[in-house]
Amino acid sequence: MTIQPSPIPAHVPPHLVHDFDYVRAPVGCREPQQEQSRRLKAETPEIFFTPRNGGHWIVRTPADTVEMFRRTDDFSSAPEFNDQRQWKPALLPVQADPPAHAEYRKVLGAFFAPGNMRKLEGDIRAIANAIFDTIEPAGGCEFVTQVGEVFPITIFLRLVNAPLDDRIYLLRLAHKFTRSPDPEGRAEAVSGLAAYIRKLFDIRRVNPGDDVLSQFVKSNFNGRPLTGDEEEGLGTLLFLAGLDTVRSAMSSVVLYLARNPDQYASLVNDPALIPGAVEELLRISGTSMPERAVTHDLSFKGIDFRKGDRIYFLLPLMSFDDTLNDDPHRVDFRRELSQHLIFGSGPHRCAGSHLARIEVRILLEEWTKRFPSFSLKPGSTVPMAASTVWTPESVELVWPAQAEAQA
Amino acid sequence: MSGRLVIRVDRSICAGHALCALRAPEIYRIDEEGYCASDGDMVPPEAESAARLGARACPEGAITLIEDEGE
Repeated sequence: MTIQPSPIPAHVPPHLVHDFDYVRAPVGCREPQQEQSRRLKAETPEIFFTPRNGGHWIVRTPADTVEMFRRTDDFSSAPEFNDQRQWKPALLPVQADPPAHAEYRKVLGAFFAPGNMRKLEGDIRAIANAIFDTIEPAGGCEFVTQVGEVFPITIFLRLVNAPLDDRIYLLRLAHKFTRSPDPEGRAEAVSGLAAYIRKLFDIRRVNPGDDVLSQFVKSNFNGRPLTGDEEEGLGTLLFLAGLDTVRSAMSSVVLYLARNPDQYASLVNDPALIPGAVEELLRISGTSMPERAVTHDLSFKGIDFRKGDRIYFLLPLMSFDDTLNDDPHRVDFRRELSQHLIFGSGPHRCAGSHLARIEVRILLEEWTKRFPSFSLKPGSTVPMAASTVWTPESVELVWPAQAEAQA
Repeated sequence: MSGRLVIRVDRSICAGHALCALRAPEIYRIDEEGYCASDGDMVPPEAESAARLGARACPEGAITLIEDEGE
């Protein structure tokens, strides 16, 4: 299907127009984050306008991003300024601006705080090993579907205390959301997820537990309980945010290690390198590109923006900006700091970042023990998906049979 | 003799990344909602480089280390 580029609005000068389709950009790349970062740095201004995906601005540098993400009065997350994000319900808290955003965020913040998430480590480790038990005997797996999808969704279903059997249904909706080329498909997915969440909330209201949905049921928002729409919005975002992003990041991380056996061996031989490796591998494995809409006509860095202009922030590419990291394309598990913005910045910084870091760390700690040597399946290819969340479509792996590995 | 370092955290821009505490857990404390709670803390002289690393790790630039003016 060919999607026609949109006309360029009159206020956008020709020298700031560059054709970039962020959904299709990874297709055909080996390392999309690195390759597209190099390409845009060579070919485009730091802020430019693309006619693709409805026509929108692109911001590709960390300094502009940190500033714009902080200026929520000018660059809003609210659907009222964005005609392509008219979802029912609005996803909370990502589609709210301060000060209302802070109230929603408090509900999430305490649950997803680093201390509270660390309590889950034992459970996460058990989930990892249960999944590895299912794939190990076969001598290989397709990582994206057999581990990358199953792992975070299992953890997530546990966070909300929903039945594991719901996994398949939820995955289908998540794919519809992240891989639909049109806003209608994404809106349908959001409605479907909201209906599912509605059922879970109805159960929690009668019979609350200690899961995250029960925390919402018990919470006050400016002195009142959350409305049904707010609960659905919060719950729906929790599902979406925890599903494809983590799958995609994990798949990219394991793909990198499969392609770089010497670096993988360093982790097997010295597990103390793993925490540093997690941050460095996350740095090169960003998946998500958030959006803001301009709330009023304004000028930023000499560029005129009009109310309703949409801006996408290419967070996965910013890891390779040399203002953040020296020699940014070198992947080094011993870097003093691996700087990146893959979890965003400002008030909307990814609430699940602490959980995501723990998930990837435990994946590596357990994977290195279970599969001390593994590689890409000979002859297999690793196609990158056309998707709003950047991910390999499949990563075929093989490892030596147990007896062989122990010999 | 140089003064000791004091941690200053701009709570209005701290976004709860918690990378200060990830990089220098012996220096930076995180509150129950995940935000840096070390504003005003003195840095032990032997931990100055760790404190600087934690401050540099902040994507928001919310942490500064200043020389204590007192005494």
